Amino acid sequence: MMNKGAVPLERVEDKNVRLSANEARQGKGFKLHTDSNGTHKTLANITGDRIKISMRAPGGRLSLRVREQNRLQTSEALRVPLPLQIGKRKTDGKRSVLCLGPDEWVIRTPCEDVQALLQKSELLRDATPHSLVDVSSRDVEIDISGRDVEAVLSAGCPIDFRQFSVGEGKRTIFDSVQIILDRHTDTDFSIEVWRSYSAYIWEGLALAIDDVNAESFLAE
Amino acid sequence: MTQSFRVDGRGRLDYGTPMRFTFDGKTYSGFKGDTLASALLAHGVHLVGRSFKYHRPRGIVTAGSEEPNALVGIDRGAGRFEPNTRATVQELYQGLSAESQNRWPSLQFDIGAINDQFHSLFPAGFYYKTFMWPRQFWDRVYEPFIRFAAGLGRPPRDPDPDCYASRYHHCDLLIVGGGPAGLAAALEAGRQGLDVVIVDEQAAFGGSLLSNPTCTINGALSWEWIANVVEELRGLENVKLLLRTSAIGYFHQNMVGLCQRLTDHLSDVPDGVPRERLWRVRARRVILAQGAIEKPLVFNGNDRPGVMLASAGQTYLHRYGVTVGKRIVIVTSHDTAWQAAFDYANAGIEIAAIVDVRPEVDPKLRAKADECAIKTLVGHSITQTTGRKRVRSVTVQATTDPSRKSVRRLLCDAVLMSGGWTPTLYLFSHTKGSLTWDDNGERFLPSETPEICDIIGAGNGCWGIANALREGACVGAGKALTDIEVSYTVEHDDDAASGIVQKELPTTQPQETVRAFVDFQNDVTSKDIRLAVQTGMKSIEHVKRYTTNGMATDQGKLSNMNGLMIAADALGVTPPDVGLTTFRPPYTPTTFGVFAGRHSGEHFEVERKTVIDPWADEQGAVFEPVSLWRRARYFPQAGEDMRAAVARECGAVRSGVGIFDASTLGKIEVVGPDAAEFLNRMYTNPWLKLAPGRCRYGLLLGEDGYIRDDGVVARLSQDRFHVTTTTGGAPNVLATMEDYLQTEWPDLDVWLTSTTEQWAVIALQGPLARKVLEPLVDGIDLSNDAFPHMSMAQCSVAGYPARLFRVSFTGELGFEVNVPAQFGRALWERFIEAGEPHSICPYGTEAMHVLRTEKGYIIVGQDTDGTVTPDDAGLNWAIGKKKKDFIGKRSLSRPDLVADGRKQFVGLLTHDPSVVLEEGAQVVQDPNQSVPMDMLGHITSSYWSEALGRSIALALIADGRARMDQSLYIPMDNQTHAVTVVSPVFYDPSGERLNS
Repeated sequence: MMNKGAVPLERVEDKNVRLSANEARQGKGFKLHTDSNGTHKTLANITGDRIKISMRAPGGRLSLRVREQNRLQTSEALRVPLPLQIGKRKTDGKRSVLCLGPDEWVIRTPCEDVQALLQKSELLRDATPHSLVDVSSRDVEIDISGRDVEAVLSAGCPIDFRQFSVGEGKRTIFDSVQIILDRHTDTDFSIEVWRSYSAYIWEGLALAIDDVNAESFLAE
Repeated sequence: MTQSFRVDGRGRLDYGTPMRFTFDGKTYSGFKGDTLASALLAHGVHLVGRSFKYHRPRGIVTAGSEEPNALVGIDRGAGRFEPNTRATVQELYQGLSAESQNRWPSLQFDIGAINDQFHSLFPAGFYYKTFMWPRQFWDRVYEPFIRFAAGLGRPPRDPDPDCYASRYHHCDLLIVGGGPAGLAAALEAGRQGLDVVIVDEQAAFGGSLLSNPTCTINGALSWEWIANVVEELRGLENVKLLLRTSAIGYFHQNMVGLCQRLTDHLSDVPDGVPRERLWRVRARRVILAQGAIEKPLVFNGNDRPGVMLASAGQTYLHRYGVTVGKRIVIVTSHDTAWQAAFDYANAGIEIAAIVDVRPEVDPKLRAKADECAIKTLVGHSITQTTGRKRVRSVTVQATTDPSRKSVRRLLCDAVLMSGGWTPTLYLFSHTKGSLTWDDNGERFLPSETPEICDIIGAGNGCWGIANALREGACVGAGKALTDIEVSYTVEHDDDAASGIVQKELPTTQPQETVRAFVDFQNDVTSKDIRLAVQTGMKSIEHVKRYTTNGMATDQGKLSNMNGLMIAADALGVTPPDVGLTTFRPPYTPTTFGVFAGRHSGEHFEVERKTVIDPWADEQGAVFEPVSLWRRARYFPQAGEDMRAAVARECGAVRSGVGIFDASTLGKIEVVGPDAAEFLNRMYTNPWLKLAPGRCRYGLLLGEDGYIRDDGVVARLSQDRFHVTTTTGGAPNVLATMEDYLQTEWPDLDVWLTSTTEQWAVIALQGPLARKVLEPLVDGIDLSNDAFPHMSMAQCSVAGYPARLFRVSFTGELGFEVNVPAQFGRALWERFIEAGEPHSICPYGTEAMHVLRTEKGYIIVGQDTDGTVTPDDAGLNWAIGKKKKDFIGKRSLSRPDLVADGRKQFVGLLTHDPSVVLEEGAQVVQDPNQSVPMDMLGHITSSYWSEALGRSIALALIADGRARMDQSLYIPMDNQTHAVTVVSPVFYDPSGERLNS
């Protein structure tokens, strides 16, 4: 059976094995990899010439909400750069911040940084109303890259990739599940998704890859 | 069998690749490039099915997706049987196996054809009139009879083993239809560098040009021109060409659904290759270039196998190298069929005559017919045909001759007919585009549409290849028709085509014997339509439903216009006054599979799992779905059934310690200076004075005063709350809160963040819970005095950062430990290890339900049904009495919410303690009352309680609290059970254990 647990689902890494959609559907080729923490051990799992999918190691992640009039103060106090346009990302050292809405940002930062930011937020709260919430563990990140990446993502994601520039991120859906999709280069994306939905997303991507792979057969 | 109807030197087939196939068990041969229809015609097989109502023998009428008759079952092996496949669309593949439909025992001899003998007994509306009475006949006689007789083909019974794919796609321009207009448009737009998608439902681009090999475009023969254009388009990276792809629906803002058939034309399909792919294309601009569909003529006997559309005849000849007969009669009211006659004559096929209904035709056509030595009968009509399974003769007569002097009989084995052309406006109509009636052409043409959509070529009423190319090039380039340099020189064009539109053809046959079909698939005749009008149907929508005209799988592609002309004639009004019926997606029959896409089998729907789920799975837990989650229901040990396992798990919680995965609980972090004020407005309870480090039960109502959700809320600090919701209610609660925040109280400085999945939640419940937890917690005194019930602390548990709650949903001493989800499983295993000396016992949702039922704790959604107030549920204590307002407060004083007789939450004990009542069972006062009895209420929760040694139940009962100690009755399937009404708190009513 597939879906053995939320995150720890992964596909057997074997370049010689190409699973069919039916096999994928029956869960063949998927197996559990968990360490004693219940987290994923190895995560680089679908490896092909034209597409690669892997789980990213856990990272720090915070949701920031603040009104426009307090944005600058908050940004300065937290020392977090806040991009002003929805969908734009700003990076400062190891921190990267994506604007998701008029008053909403997601801050990606190393795990060890999270507590320090929450403490700064605590000091700031009386002077500057805002909300900073640790969601590091809520989501997991899936890296997906390769020449076929747009075709694979298009299977479940209605975004117009022509309008999606490198360095941007969007809250969107894949197979009806809400995700945050980031574009790092032309062919490198990452998907941030709530933990319990990740197996479903993974499975949907695997089936989408089967469809994209079928193109070469059908082109003959 | 030999392919004796092949015509040498014609067709676009791969004659080097012969293919074998079977039809009704008989083996035939064809070539790569054939359709099933063309390969059957190559053997002279016209009879391919029986009609729906009268079981009349039917043959192939068209050469495209509009085919009404040639519906067959295709068998691709186990689980891969598909009924109602159009033989005119199905490409031939090696080993194809097809069967005819709607006949028994065989296509040649069909018992059901008896219906045809009694056709006068089955006019339109027959069912409505006949099956009205006697009433009691409906269930036993009429409905089974209709069900047996209804339907086309046999439905597949097995799960579909194929897989289906879907994609989204965005482009600047989507062109539907790859005929001359579409190709010319694609060429201009593609050269401009636009992202273009061009689709065609056929296996090759070219559209009508494929059936017109003699015309030349800019000096190149049409097929050569197609090849050049397609090659150029394929060379453009910005142009995507999709064949075998039907645009099935046109939705808002230029979203067009495409169904791409990927493998139905292949004999060997590797596993994993999808059968079809659904494209959802969002196009900046759409060009519809779908051409026109030829209309049949409505005459007596027009449905015999061998009677076909003239354009289909041309297609079979030119594209497939097949002649539809050896001696052909052409009957027409339009010029284009004359060209079909010339084409056949040029191929050396005998044309018995061209019968043209019009009084006059273009002298040039007559001259050309003379050149070809074809007999012409202008001003003549067909009055009759003969031949049961294949047309054998037609009887013709001058239309101006009421006597029968001009009657003559022409022997033939095929009839090609043309009643003119209907622009294909189906997709255009999906856009809510309006149509205008063109008086000259007697046809509907496209008018306004709210979408950014152009319609070109024959679909726009533009006739002739040169005109279509020019229109395509202009619109494709985004320019006005007058403003384009591109020009096409076309020779042997068909732009001279004109004609007149007919109702049924005149005949001198006795009316009762006339069978002139309008809708072949649904067996609707012209008489049926006139009868419908006579019966009082004035709107085309009513005529359609009364007669079923246009309601078959072809959606009336051939029948709508003829039906309209006849209805208009019968009503004595113009066709636009009668109007058209509404066209709805899909444009052509589409598989269910392609709509489901990847969402089948394991991927059918999301199944959410907690981080502890894999542990439960390893322990052999039995799971149950709770909203999208799957949760461990119980953990059976060897030999245990559910009842034994649940009894053991409950016992462990009551006497020792149990451990429970509560991670699915919804969680919302409410942060901001106005957080307490916000919660105060949302929930019934008072929040302003709740101290940090304390928890409170929260009750959420709707504006109507009914319970929507509940959960424990902890105050983390002055401006930060940790709100929990029910497992299933989490998304709704968050959405409701966000809604109020954004629309009612945008002034509040407070923000909501879903943290459901941030935290794994482990509940330790039972008198020994503290003993398991204490050694793992740093810096917190967990004693009852220091950390009483409803306390909360942020601390470290087994080294993990945690939010620790002293809460209980079991009535025992209890803790819920929240840790970041990634540590959930590790902590769980630590607890199992640490609890081993205390015989810690994992318990599932079933035991949780029993334990909370013993305590009379409600579950929103199980013990409430959306009509239960706090007072009904006995939760008045949860309402902040001094609060000025909260959602639902005003409704709580509504007269009907304070009236007597409301259903109230009570406990029930069966007189026989071993009987576990059925949840949902009704409660009555007097079981001897005659049916329908007065229902007092119903059972909401019912379990066996090991702690009490008996069954217990919770119920909502009218005036329940005033009925304490009364006996009531529960009628169940086999027996009626007596119960006593009691307090809903069965176990430890004083709550001592909770506070120990």
